Amino acid sequence: MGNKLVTFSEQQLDNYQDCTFFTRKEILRVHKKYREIRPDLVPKRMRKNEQATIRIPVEDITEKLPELHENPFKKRICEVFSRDGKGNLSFEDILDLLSVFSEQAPRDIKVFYAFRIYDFDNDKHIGPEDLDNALILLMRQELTPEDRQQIIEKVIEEADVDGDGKLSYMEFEHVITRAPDFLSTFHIRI
Amino acid sequence: MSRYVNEEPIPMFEINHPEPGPSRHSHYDHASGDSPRPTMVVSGHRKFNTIYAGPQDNFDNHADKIVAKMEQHRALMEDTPISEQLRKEALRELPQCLTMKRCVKKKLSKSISRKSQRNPIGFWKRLKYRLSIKVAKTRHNFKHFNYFELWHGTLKDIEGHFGSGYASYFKFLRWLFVMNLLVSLMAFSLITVPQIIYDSSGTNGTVRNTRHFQLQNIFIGDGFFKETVLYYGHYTHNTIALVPYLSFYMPAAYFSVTVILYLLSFFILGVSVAQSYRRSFIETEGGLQNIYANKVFCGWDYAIATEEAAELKSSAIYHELKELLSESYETEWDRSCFYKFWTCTIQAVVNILILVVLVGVAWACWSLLEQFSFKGDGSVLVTTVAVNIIMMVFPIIFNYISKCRGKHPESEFDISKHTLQIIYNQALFWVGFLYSPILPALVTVKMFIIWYIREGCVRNFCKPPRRTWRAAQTQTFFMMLIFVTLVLIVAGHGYTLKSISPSDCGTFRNYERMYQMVTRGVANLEDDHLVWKIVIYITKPGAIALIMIEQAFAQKEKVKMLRDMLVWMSKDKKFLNQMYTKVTRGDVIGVRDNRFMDPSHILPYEVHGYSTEDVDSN
Repeated sequence: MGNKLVTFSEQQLDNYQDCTFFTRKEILRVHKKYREIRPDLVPKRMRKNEQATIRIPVEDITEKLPELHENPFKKRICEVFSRDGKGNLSFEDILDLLSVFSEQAPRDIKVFYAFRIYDFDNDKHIGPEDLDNALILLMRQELTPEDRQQIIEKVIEEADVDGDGKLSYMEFEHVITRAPDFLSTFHIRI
Repeated sequence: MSRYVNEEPIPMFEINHPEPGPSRHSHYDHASGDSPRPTMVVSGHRKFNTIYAGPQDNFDNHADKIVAKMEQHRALMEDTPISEQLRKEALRELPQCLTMKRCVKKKLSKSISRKSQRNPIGFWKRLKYRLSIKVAKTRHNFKHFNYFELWHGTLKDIEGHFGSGYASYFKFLRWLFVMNLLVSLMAFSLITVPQIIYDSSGTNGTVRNTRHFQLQNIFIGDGFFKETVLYYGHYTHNTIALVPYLSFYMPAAYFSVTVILYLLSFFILGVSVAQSYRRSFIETEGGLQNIYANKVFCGWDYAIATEEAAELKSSAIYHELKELLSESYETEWDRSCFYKFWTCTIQAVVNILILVVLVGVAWACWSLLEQFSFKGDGSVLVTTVAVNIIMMVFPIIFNYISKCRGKHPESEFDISKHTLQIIYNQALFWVGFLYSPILPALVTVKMFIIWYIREGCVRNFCKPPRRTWRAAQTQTFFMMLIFVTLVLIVAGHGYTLKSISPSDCGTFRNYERMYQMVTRGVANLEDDHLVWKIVIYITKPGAIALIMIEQAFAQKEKVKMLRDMLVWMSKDKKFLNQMYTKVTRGDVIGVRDNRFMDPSHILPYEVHGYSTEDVDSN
């Protein structure tokens, strides 16, 4: 799969290993996948600073990356991990993304990013509109607005502790760390 | 998960974004025309969560701030391998983008090398550090023994096509396969290989195989196989000279290798079960009542990669949510006493029926074994065939019964059934290993074949599941099942080692009881030695059981107390919130102290009485 000394320098691979939950092999695998999305944009060697500067537009990522293609939240995930907030990801952004979703990442960091993903309007809270958004994306079959409203009310009822009608990070974390299947569903194998 | 357990309690982790635009840390390439406004920036790891207020910072500045915060913790800033490990962990868990993390790492190492230049470490210390780095690395590699790469492609493919539910079966199979492979390698190399060498050396005492191979021997395993390394009976009781001047005492090897491998399996399984239980039951207790939140936030399986699986998953979540909604609409009549009574009796009757059937089957197997197993000819197969027929037929019957109860059996890949099959396979392995050191190798090969058969079966004949599979808790259940199986089998073998006298063939033929291999052969301890009295006294099962039960109760109390504290704290916050708004609005209302202290009472003020503008603590 390519001589690792060609794609990255030793120092770079070391840095990536220290900053993500990946091994060398996995980092190179991620690079291969990244390159496959836009081989015209992404060079084989990334020695200078291409890994932080070259960005693949969000449309290409959501269409061509098989791990995200069927995910209802793919656009939002890209937005959260991008530097420009619009979803265009550099190699380092995608490495970060996949590292958070890997099996070795601890629960806390997954919860942190899960909150960011579900907070569509970036107002530090998951409010009824965010939940509505999530439900619409989650289901290809349409739920009626009344059903959606019901579900939103039930979710807030279950999770809201301080009574402000929306979920803060603490409340969200309190609910999600107690979900038995969070770790197994919030996981992308690379 | 916190490695910093002894430090201050984990502070609240608040997220504040500079503005809705850039979604990560402060914008690297400045948006022009933005007037600097006070912003608050997340600085990462929980331990370093200060909130920095000030004008919009640039990239480097932000990194400096994070480094400054990290430098305050002495444990991180030393030049030792442990410190380096801690730094790496802190870096990985920093919720910043990768570019920021690399910047922080560079600054950190500069700062550390500056510090160490000021106090250089001596030669011996450096050597010690290098050694401990190597040790830590090997320990790390051992802990994360990367068998994850085995069959990785297949697993990913199945996850993508069918979801994490089916994949959990394959992950379990792979884990057991690796464990069995290691056991079989050790048993083969340490017991069987010396025996083979001994046999081929032709010294006096070796038994040559006088029987000829016939095809039917494969089915029963007698005849030719009786005098091969397949069975315990063939192993010698002599000392073998593998290499000149190095003797190899076969009974000791046999005993110690088998016992150690059993204990190792026991230990590994025990640890896995405990971790699994903690993760899926203890840490999540109280979370099972958040059904809607769990469904919305954790409903989607991120591993899905095909259109078909995504459609099915989405419709599964849809139907499950609709079901939940309709259950909450149910009328009073459905919950009437009569209905509940009826369902209860039906369940009780069915359970008793199943229990009766199971007891009947067990009795039938036992009597078949008694009648047919000792004749030494083909009739020994009768029990085997009967057991297999039972295992094929009865699940269908039970499925039919459960259908009457209103359940819907899956027509897709039945994860439970197949997992139970591999657990049964594993139980056979453990029962037979003591008497046949080659059995592990055979079972490992069998599991290898099972993998490919199941994979083909799933790909070609199964469709993705229509309902969500509760992976975490069922995995824990299966692990517990397999652990209990191992415990029972080890207990059975323990009884054999202690009380059954070995037969006239085989490696323990000179001992009255197998455990005497250790006591007499190695430690020269007679039966009524003082050591035994002490050991027996300490290891009385009752004493150990009492201690463990007491421990378990103590832990449970502790967990309950901590949980109550959490509830207290959140109710306090709610209460204080409302008090604050009340006071700032001008009304001061007296508080009743007894309510304030008791978390199980509801708060003095109903939340719904206030509009949301009042309860704004920002």
